[in-house]
Amino acid sequence: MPALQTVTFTGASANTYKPTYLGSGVWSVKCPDGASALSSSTTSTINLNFTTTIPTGYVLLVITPHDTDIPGAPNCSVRPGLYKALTTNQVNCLNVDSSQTPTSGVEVVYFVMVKNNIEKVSITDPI
Amino acid sequence: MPSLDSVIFAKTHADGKAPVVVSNGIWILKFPANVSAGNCLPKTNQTIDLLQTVNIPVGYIGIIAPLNGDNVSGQANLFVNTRVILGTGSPVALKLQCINLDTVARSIIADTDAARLVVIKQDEFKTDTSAGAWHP
Repeated sequence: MPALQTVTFTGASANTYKPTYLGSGVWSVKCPDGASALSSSTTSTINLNFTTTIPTGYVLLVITPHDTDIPGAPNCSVRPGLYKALTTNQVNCLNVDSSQTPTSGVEVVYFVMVKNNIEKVSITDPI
Repeated sequence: MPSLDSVIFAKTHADGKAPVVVSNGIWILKFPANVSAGNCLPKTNQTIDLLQTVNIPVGYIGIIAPLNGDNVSGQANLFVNTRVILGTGSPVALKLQCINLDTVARSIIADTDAARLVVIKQDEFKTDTSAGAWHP
């Protein structure tokens, strides 16, 4: 049986909560302390203040597990994001209402490592 | 050959509509019967209960996404938010977050296609959070 690959999270602030592994390549991520307000009728980001290493052969899906609004932010929702490379992680949010501030220290998104199995892609011109 | 894993859908109300199989691990989810008109208020998010549960096995995730990346059928500026369900081997209520960007109410239409569910097999990982600064 092959050894498990390691996903490394590197925190950048005392406001930042460590992700919690739930199994099956899924981590629960909390909103950091001091997150900025989500402006009215806009898309804006929650900066999670940590970076993630993505093992070769995988992509990182940042996506909500909830069927409701971002905690503490009515009518605000998480827009899914897909990452291929190491980056400062952010959560893109859509606010259809007035300005709202998400609740810190509460689960806001899942990180999901998804394996990309296709090694080669053939592209042909349309006839 | 190993036996196939099962994804189990169970109705919680008579108005719940059975999902439609598209291919291996892909289903079309349906809005329930008898939904109220104008149930998605202007500039709000609304949680729509599909009146059923889904049981996804451990080692899998389910991703729910809009059909063809489009709005809810026939409803401008109304769409289903994409979300993930972690497979735990226990039933999870199937609910969708519907987002109405419009200035008028929009209606979920009963017994129409709502979203796609894709079940994906996942790998396991180890986690390292030893580096950097974190909340104490």
